[in-house]
Amino acid sequence: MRSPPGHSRLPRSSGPAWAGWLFLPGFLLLAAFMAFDPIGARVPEAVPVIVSRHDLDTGPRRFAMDDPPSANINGVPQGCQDCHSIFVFVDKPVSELSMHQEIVLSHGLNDRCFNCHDRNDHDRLRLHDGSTVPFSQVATLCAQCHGTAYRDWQRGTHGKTLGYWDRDLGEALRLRCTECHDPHSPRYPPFTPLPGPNTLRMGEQNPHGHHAPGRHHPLLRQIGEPHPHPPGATP
Amino acid sequence: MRLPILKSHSNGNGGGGSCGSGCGCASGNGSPTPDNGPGMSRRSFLRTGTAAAGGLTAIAAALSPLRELEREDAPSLEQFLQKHYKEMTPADMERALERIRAQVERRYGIRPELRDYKPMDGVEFVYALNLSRCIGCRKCVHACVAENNQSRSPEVQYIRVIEMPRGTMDMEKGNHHYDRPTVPDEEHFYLPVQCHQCANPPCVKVCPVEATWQDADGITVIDYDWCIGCRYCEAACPYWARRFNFSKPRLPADQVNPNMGYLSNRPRDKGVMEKCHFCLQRTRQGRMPACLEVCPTGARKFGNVLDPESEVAQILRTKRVLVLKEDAGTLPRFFYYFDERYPSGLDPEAAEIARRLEDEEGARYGRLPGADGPELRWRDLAPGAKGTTA
Repeated sequence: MRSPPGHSRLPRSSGPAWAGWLFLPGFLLLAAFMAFDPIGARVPEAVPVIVSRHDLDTGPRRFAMDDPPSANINGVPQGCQDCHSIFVFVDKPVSELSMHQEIVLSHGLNDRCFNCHDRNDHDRLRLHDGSTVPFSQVATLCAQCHGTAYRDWQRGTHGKTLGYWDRDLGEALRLRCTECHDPHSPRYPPFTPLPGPNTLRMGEQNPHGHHAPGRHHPLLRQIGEPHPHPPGATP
Repeated sequence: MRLPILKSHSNGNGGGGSCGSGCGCASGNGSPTPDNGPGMSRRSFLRTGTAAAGGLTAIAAALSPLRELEREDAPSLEQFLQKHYKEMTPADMERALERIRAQVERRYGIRPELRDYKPMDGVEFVYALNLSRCIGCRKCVHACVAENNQSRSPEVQYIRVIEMPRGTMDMEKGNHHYDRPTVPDEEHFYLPVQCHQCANPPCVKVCPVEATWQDADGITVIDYDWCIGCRYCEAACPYWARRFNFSKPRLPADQVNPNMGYLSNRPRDKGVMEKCHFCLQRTRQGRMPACLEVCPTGARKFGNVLDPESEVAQILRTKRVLVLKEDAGTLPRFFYYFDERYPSGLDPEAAEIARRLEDEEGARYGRLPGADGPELRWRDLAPGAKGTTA
């Protein structure tokens, strides 16, 4: 089919004829850029965090005294009555006792041994009414003061439960008071937190901005760069 | 020399008229000569040929990332033809499981215990977390990573522990990069956030390929073989719970957890979403999630809410619970709750009683025996002293 008259006279492009040649080196440069991949080779990655298996123990937090109770005396476990059938209690602060000096007593106003321990039978614990319970029933003793915690523990809303949530498939293991709390200083000690997140898309790492902006921006972090937050750097 | 493809171009113009092609040949009147035809000149051939070669080179270079695609990472024909999870017959599933087992064995050198765990009848999972007890130690974060075979680098973590100033629930003030020598800090509380397994999940609604859905026990799962990596679900989630594998997940072979589920913790590939699934490879066997087992304070509670005697049912009945972003209408199955008393002996009423007792009885009995230790005195905890709640 014949072109309309004058069609071939129309200018084909507004620029000079050689401008089209610029596409070629442009394409080749792009090809070289993608082939050598200078951006892709610099994908920033976080330094892998190594967490020891010891930090991820799942059992009870501490060893609880069970029946019959025993104490380490000069590195040797001894039954309570082994000594206390002979030695009687001397009314002194714990820090002045000749034995049991490892005990740190920090239980609020409850700072007398025989508030909880039985003066006559050291294998048992003493309740307020003078009756005694074995060490395995320590919750009964704690419940005298910590009523709400005891009620919640009975319901399962306080304390840790291990094992199975489905009683048909396996046993649930409710931890007792002293498997988490040290009865002599029941408040939890401070914990060292495990390392924080270091994913690449989590924004500015330090919201307080104590160092130069952008210096430690996660997108600029490369493999091998040291962790920008040594413990204790953040106030 | 004339190329056939270009000859057809000259034929299209017909004989006689102006050639109309942009060949730039000197003769515009269309008189054909053997060496310098209307469709092709030397200059035209060189230009077209070089441009075509350059274009091909560019295409080849654009495809060059495929060079890095190892044979192991390329989807097999079997994986490509695999049906949607809900349309798979047991035989199809067994074939898929066997393919994944072989793949894991090739990559990590261990034979996994891979199964497709189905939801249990009469079970709806609920998680509860005691904000009064959480101390922000991040053990749950790392136990989750160890259990669920997440990428170690780049780091993929399902749980965020957010350090919040006391007295506010404004998430903008939270910080999950806190890096203290010790936790907890007296002026903050700690808010772990993970997938809330919503009963009205926005992430499921936006998935264009139905690669994620809510199972009968309330767990929203992802089929990693069906996900196309569009990340709509990540944008839809108000809890920022979904994670994307931007690059190839790196998982050391000695840290692989061989107990795997098809919809949960089998190793993922680059370009798919993942998120917390309440450790369904454990919980659908009656066990507890990994984050709960490692929690040193017992702040985490998990169970079947349809069982009225379960711990979570007790919590929902007897505790003050809250959900995050309730106004989003997502109906989370992840509840936060508080204890009645203040944490860490900060109850001003109890401190007042203790001070009165110390004044009365302390005066009567003198210095209490054993009181010389480094214990916390009640007076230090009285209202107005440092560390009281806002």
